[in-house]
Formats: sequence, structure tokens, C-alpha cells
Amino acid sequence: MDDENKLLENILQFIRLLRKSGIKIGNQSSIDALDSIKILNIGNRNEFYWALHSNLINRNEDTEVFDQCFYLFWQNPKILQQMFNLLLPQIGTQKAPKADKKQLKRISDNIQKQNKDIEKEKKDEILFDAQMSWSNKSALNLKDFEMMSLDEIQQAEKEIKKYLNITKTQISRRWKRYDYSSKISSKYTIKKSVKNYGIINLAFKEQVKKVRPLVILIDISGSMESYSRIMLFLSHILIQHHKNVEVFTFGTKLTRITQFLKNKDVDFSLDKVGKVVNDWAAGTKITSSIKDFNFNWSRRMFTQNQRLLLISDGLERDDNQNLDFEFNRLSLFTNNIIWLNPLLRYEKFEPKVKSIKTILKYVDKFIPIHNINSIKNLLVNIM
Amino acid sequence: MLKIKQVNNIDTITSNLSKIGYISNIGLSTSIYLMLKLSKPLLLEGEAGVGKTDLAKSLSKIFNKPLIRLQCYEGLDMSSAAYEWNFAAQMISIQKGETENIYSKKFLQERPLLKSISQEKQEEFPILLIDEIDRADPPFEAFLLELLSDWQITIPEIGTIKAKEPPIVIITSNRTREVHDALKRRCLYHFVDYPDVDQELKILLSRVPKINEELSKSIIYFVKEIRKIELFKQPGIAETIDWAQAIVELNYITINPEVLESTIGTLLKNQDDIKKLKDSEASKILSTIQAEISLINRK
Repeated sequence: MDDENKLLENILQFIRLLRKSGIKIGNQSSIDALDSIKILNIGNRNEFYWALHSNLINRNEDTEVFDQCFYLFWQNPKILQQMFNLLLPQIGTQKAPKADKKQLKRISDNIQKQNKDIEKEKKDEILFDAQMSWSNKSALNLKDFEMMSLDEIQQAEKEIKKYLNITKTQISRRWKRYDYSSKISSKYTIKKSVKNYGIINLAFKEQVKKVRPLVILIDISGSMESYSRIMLFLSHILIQHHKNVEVFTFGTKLTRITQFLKNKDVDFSLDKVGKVVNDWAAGTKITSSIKDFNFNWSRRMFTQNQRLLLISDGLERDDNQNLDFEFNRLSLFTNNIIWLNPLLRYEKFEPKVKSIKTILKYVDKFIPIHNINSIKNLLVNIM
Repeated sequence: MLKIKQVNNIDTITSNLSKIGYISNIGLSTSIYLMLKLSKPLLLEGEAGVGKTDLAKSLSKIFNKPLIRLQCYEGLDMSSAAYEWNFAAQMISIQKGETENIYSKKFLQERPLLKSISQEKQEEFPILLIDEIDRADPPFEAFLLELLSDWQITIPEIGTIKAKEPPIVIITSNRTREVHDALKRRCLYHFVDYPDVDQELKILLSRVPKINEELSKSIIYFVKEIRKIELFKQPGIAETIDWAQAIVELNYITINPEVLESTIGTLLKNQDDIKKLKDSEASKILSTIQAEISLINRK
């Protein structure tokens, strides 16, 4: 019995190790893992491994971490136990310093003063904003993001939010009650009739419309550096507004960043993205990035008639012999590719570069994305 | 016929499955064993053609239980998956003035999910296969949560219908999208990967009885080499079996460029992959596998 309890305790320690390693494990899964061990022949290491694996892991990507932890822990738990002890905080070994009352009051006064200053600044700001002339605003709308200061970019972000009104929808296979439709709903008709003591009053239904899902590929190479932040901001608000949006960055490699943009706080999200993506302002390898996307993501991304937003200047540094092939393959997965290119800020822009000409063959819309007005045009007229 | 109560260890599962031609490894057999003992659903993820759906069919055979299959797709709703009211009969009843029992079981049409939990007799308790859950949309996943945790379905007009005995549930996914965590945590999880050479050889010999061992080795090693190439769609076990059957039916006794030319469509399903293989890789692979097989035979 003691041995059994010890084993169960070790399993709980192992689960804690997995959690510390970044694997999400709920309490019910832990309980199920313990139940599984009780009904198995634990003398067999393989069965033991698989019993824990099937209860604690629900993503194939976590298997490698699980394997490493399993090997470390069940090979020699004593070493890990020592490591655990080192990691645990020392509770109750030091007394908290006694607070100096005068010091506390000073700190508290300072904080209150700071808060008052911040409020006064905000009021001044609002006053200033309200006094901002119409011509200043329209000038900002036309100003290229590349030329903007950080303050102006932040103002631009506030402006962009106002235009977020995606209206293009597609019909789904679900139905909802709608009495102004022409399609009779048997289900709601019966319900109505029962309520009306058998008098049949027809009820109607229509197909639910949903916003068409979106996949965004953002070029974050050196030539796109000035636009990266605002494009990420745009992606962030699109994800917040419409859940079915997937976002990738590419420069020298492709990185999926959707999960990092889901936090409502834009600065927090962008900070996380900054840490995860490590090819900022590097070279551009469009061909290999699109190839990576085609191989590893396209079958997962384009399952519900998604549209693709490609944000890039199209200037390729990779060997682009296969660029045509990869874009051809990409176009087979989605029937709507919208290319947003900041080079269209130049009125006399002509696609002379080979890579741009190649990509253009597979694109449905080719539009600029260099200032607020262009983003407004994208959100209002195209999305 | 095997009964669930007779399953006392994992080897029983492995041996009974292999008798009917499904070769399982220790990981999968352990997950199946736990599914039976803990009465939890089993979520199988993996590429197309690795044997996820086939497992449910095989379990249905060895336990002699009916298989209820629900093929998922986008827009799948309760009326297709769980139940629907017989509106025509209800309408007639209303016309007759009988409105009191309009929402009774008399007018209830059972669909796969409700069918799986409403059986009365022991021999009718089924195996429920929810196939390709990743094709369904999130609202359908949310609907499954009640069924998978409490083995019941709530019908607003009638009440809650609870299973006498939880069905054996297998859920498959091709990972075209992430299944929600709430669904995953209610299931045991197993990723079905491509088998190793020995396992795939056993599968081939059991599924294609007419094949000789020499030819089957050539086929398995060829497929193993192909899986190392960067192909858009890797061949699964199903494709290997199809290819082997095609070669046998055409009375070929060895693999050579002529055989490849005529049968490659059963193995590779993407034109770019076929072109890639034909262009340069095929002859290289053929000489590699010949060398490998003669080395093994010498051992």
C-alpha cells in the first residue's frame, strides 16, 4: 500500500514537472492518469509510458517534451527531486521588513500626485485632440507610415479602429429563424402551431451568414520594417473583431503568430510576437516561406473558403525559380488572394521586378497599404 | 466473440486485433485498453490513411458490436447528428387536433448520436465512430461536450436521455484544424503515426494474402524511401495496401520502372509528387531498396 501511495505521489510530481515544462494538464486528466495506472500492470515500462501519455498529452507537438521529462524523471527521480527542491521558493525564511509609516505615506502621496498628473495630462491631450484641425487629420490620413513618428503611428492606430467594419460575408450551412425569408421552417412552424392550439401559422428560416475567414501573411523583412508594426496592429484588431483569422509572419522563415495576438491588450500581444519571431528586418525569402506554408499549413488553413491577405513588397532575395510553382500551388487552396503592397504608394509604380510579376499572376486584387486611407479602403470596400 | 469483461490485459487487445488483420502497437493497444476500462472516448489524430477509421471497424468486429458512424462536415447540426422531429407526422396530428403529445418519443427520429445512447439490450450497445471531427465547426464540438462527459443528450421538449451503458466512442481527426481543448480533455489521446517497417510488413501480409514475402518487402522498403522525399502527400498505409493489391492483380512479381509507370496512381495522389518521382527519384530508390533487401537476406 505504501509503495502504491509512493508511486502515485511520484506521478503527481511528474505531472508538476510536465506543467513546468509548458504542457497544459487539467486536474481531471491527472485523476484519470492515476486511475489508469491503478488498472494496469505497472511492471511493464511501455504500458506505463503509454498510460500516462494517453491521459496527459492531447497534442502531438507535446510528445517530445513528454518523452524528455519521462526519461529524466523515471530514470532517476532522485536527481530531479533535488532539482525540484532547488527550484521551490524559500517560504518563511526571511521576515518581511517593517514598513516605515512615514515612508509609506510619502509613497502613497507620490502615487496620488502621479495619478492626478496623469489625469491632467490626459485632459490636456483630449483638449489638444479636439482642437486638432481637420487639415491635420486629413494630412495624417495621407501620410506614409514610413514617414510617421511613434506618436503619429499610435494616432494612426486609433483612426484605423474606427473603420473596422468587415461586411463581406458568406452563407454557411446553418439555419436560423427569420420570418422575412421565403423558406418555410417545419421545426418552428410546429412549435408555433402547438402554442396556437393547432392553428398552423407558417414560420420561416434563412441560412446564417458569417464573415469569411481570413489568413494573413505579413512580410517582416528589412524593406517592410516601417510597416511591420502597423500591419501587426491591423492583424491584432482583426483577430479581436473576428475570431476566424490566422496570422503568419515571414522574412527568412515562416512563423505562425495567431495565438500571440489573441490577448486583448495590443502592446502585450505585440511584445509577445516580438519575442517569438526572430527574423525581424532580415532578408526576404518569399519562395521558401510560401513553400513552407503550402507544405505545413495550407491544408489546415484553407478549410472554410478562407481569403488570403498577402502583405509584402514582393522583393525576393531567395532563389525564385520555384516562386511561380509555389504561388500556383497556393492559388489552388484559396480562390481569393489580396495582395497589399506599400510600393503602390508611388504613382508611377510599374511591376518590373521578376518576383512581383510572378506573384501578380495569381493575385485577385493588388492594392496599396502605405497610409490610413489605404487601410480604410481595404476595410470598408474590400473586406 | 470477445467480451469487454474478458479483456484483462493489453496483449488480449493486440492479439485479437491482429487475428482480423489490424496490427496495433503497444501505444495504441494501451489507449484502447484504457478506453474500455475507464469508459472514456478515444481521440485519434494522424495523417490520412494510417488506420484511424479502420480501428473502429476492427473493434466492432472483435467485440461483435454494431458500428454507428457519424461522418462530420462543416454545418453538421443536431438534426443530422442527434435527433429530428417527424414534422409531417406532427403536422397530421395537429390537424387531427391531437396537440398534447406532439413532442413525444413517437415523433422522435433518432440520428447517430442519440441512437448510440438509447439502446436497451446489451448486445445492441454500439461502437460510435465520430469521423473527421476537424471537418465539423466549433458549434458542433460544443454540442458534443455533454454527450462525451455525461453520456446524455438533452432534448428541450422531452428532457434528458441518458445512456444505460456508455458506448465505446472513437473520434478521428486529420488535424486540418485544432480541436478545442474542452473536447480533448474529455478524451484519451493517441497520435497514429506511420508504422515502422516490421509493422507495415505484417499489415501488408495480413491484408494482401496473395502477396509473397519477397515482393511485400520490396514494396515496404520502396514506400519507406518515398516517405523520406519531400512529397506533398505522403502515402499512408491504405495507399501501400492499394498499391500492393494492384501489383498482385496485374500479376507483377517485382517492382521495376514499368510496374511503377502503370501503378503509381494507387500510391501517390498528387500530380506534382508523381512527376517528381518519375523524373529522378524512382531509379535511385529502386537500386537502394534492392541493395537493402539483399543485405537483409544475407543476414
